[in-house]
Amino acid sequence: MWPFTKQQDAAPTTVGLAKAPDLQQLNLGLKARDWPAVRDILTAADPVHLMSYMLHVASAAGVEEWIPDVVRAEPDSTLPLLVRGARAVYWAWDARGGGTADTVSPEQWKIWFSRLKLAENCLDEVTDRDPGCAEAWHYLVILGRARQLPEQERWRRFDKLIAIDPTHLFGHQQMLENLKPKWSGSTEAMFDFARTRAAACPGTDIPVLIAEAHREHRWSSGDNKHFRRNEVAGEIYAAAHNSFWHDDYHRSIMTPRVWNEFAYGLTMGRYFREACAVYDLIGDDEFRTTPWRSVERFQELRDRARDKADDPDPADDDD
Amino acid sequence: MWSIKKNEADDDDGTLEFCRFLDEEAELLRRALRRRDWPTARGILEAEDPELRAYYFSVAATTVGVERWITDVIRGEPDATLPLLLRGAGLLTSAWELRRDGLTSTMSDAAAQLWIRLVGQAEECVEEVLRRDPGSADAWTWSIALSRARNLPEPERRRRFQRLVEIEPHHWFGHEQMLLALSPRWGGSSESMFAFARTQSAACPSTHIPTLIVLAHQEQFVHLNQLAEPDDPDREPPLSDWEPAEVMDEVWEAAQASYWHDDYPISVLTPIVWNTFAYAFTWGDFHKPAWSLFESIGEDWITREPWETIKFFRRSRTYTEKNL
Repeated sequence: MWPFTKQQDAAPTTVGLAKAPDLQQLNLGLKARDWPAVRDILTAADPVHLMSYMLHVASAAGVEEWIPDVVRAEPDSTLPLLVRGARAVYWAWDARGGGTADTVSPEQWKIWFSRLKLAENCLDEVTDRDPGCAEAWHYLVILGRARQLPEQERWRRFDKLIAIDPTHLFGHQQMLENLKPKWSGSTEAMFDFARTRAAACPGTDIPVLIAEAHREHRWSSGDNKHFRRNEVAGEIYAAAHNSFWHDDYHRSIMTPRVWNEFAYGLTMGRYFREACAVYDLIGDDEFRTTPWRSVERFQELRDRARDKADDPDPADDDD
Repeated sequence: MWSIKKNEADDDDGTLEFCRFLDEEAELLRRALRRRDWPTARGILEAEDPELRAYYFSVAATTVGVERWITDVIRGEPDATLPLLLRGAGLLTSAWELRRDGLTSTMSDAAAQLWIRLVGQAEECVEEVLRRDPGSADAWTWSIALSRARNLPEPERRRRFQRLVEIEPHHWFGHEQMLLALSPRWGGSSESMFAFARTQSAACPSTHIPTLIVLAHQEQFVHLNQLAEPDDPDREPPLSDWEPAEVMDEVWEAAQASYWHDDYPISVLTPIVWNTFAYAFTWGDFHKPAWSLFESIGEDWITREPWETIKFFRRSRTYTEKNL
């Protein structure tokens, strides 16, 4: 049985939520505007959980309305400021919309820049008072792109982040985004970054950047045929071996994201048997919308891989 | 008389599918390995019949990730060679995937490093198995594959094959590996490859082995096509490659020496032989022999190789039927 339906937004599946009671509590706390509950969860989280939870906080509509009161009430803590700044980044995107620049009205641009400025002020204050706060640097990396800051400044922010947390997945993904041709980067810069960081971080999530970069590049390089080139497919395959298939790899809540990206890349690269092994790991519970866009597309590619690999679905096992 | 064109599409009846495994045990084995159920897998892998044993081992060796979890089994049974050989074979299978086009495949730096690492680890396992159990035909088969991966000199490749055929003279997978070890895509030459296929076919009448003749021609077509279209990931040799009389005369003789031979016994690997010859006869325009093979294959024994897609299998069968 397939337990979930097509997703409307970037939130995790209900299955993912059920397996992460803290996340459920966090979302309830955000909805109830219950800062002590939210604070307790964020404070107790280890870095990788904090990275994940902060994304929920930043995406939660309404936080911008009540968090200023918390900032005033807890002047000695940087956490409310971090929340306010991170939320302002996403709040700015709410105003701008996800379209190209020509779809944005002058009024939207005004709101966009004022919210980004708010975010920057909050996060600057966090890093002034607590320079070791990786999450603040992560959102500052996003701001570097949103505010079109000079390349040097974007790199400075990323370097600060990895000095604190060398394998911070979201920060790496944001820096990769920075370097994509569509954001004033270039294909060369994007691949150079993905390869350099993948080589520097064997046995971690980071080699997934290689698969992401190829997914981005396929549009300008023969679409899906791009993945079938031996050097491309082989590079994604090698990246999988250097990531979650590496002996030193430790699973975390980030791992399903890595599995989903590699399952897609391996299937498109016609590594069907290998992809099947990753589909087994994903199972019914660890589907993520990225990079498939829809559950239907995920099922279609998974079933194609299992058929081409002549590998039965072990979940069908009755013996 | 009329003849349908080779590029003509046919109707889709939508009911055919590939037989994923050549017997039920093989499917149980694959499922067991994907569940990491070693006791069940071992029971199947220890088949008495040499051909079954070799086939099951080849299924096990191409189970993704087996080389990673089997290390726990090896730790638990340090004296057993089977899990160690399976680790070596699994590692090499994983390495091959980096060079799907042959020894000169274009690779990224990371892929090249991974290749060296996997092949090196595979070699340690297979050499250790051969040190402890030099009579293991499957280990010699994988050492032939390793000689190709490591680009060892031809005499060493031949030495390993010699050891194999001293133990099991008709080992199909070992012959297939040796054909690849002598093929131009993998550091050999067309001459060596064809000479090998012809010599072994003559030496092994009434077995599967003369099928090597078809595989050699196919490998040669792929090689020539790759030289002509190096940058196209979807390149495929033209089907008209099979038409020349010198090709088809040899295919005909090979069929006589193999499954048409009075003494040829049908066995678990026979569908490989049927499908391989059916392909060559179809596109070499030998419609009657092709059709009799399609009748033997029926709906139950369509192997993925050499068709790759059911659509192409159906197209081939229809082409034969309409030209009978």
